[in-house]
Amino acid sequence: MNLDFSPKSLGELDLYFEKSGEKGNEESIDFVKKLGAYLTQVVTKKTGGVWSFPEDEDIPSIRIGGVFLTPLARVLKVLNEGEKLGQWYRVVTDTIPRLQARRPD
Amino acid sequence: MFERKYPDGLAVIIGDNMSGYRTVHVFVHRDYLAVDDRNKEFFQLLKELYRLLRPMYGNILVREMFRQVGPHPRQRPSGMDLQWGLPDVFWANFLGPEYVEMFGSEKVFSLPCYEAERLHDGGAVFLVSSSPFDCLTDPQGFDQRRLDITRHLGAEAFDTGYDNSPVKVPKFRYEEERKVEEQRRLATPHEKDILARVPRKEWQDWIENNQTIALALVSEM
Repeated sequence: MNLDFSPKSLGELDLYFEKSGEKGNEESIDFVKKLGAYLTQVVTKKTGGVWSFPEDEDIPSIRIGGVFLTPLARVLKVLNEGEKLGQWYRVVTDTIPRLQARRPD
Repeated sequence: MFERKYPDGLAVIIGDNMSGYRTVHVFVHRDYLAVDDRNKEFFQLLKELYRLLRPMYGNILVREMFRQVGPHPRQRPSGMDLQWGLPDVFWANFLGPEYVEMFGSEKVFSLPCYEAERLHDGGAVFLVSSSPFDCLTDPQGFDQRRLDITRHLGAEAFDTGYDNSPVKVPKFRYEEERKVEEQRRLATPHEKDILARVPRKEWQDWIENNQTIALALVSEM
């Protein structure tokens, strides 16, 4: 599998999970961390999102403009509920910038 | 999500937003709307969509109409939850019957706008100007009209982007349904639970070494 931090590689991961039936149970929290890190890297590379981990939050998020996203929670949805990394990436990179586009002062 | 990029960009996204509202977004490329009377056609199309969906709220905008989000970390984009108020005044603004009832017909149909129209279900739609691109060709005039409309309806009905902002909201038709759905969602085990059991320090390390951890996945797969 060519995991080169490209959007296409997320599609390859989706295919892999579809075929292997990988589960995100408690025992595989390390895997969730790795996949969450990979997804975060792909998304922040494209969007310039920044880390957010305030004291009152349990898990780290990334902030893109005014929107907070938690790639870790998304990874669990992918592993447990069959959601797609590629689809989420498209929503994040296509939709959020349009919704959050800034008006110049 | 449906998307067509050529010859004219079109995307339709149907889903739930972060506040539990069912939402429909229709994106079209601005060049498409700039030709002839297509913004009127698009407006008619959205009115038909309103007839089918009977939403509580809707709008048509070009992205330059979005307000700047402030630097304060707790400030959020306005309009994520109608319970926090109306998001803003955009080019076209669809108000469900609950809003017309809250503001009163007289106030809604005397708005200082280009055009206001009653909708089949008792709702209303109003346009700030004749074209959405007026916000680009005459930004000051367009902004002034937005401000006049906001003042006419009352600023207390609009979300300022701060959680503690006082708002005036109607009694929404679908609020009970949304609460039931939210309760159902809360009653099911939350996917964040297994993540929340990870000590904070581990997550801090995860942030610090994120790229290396990602590379670990690369080497394993």
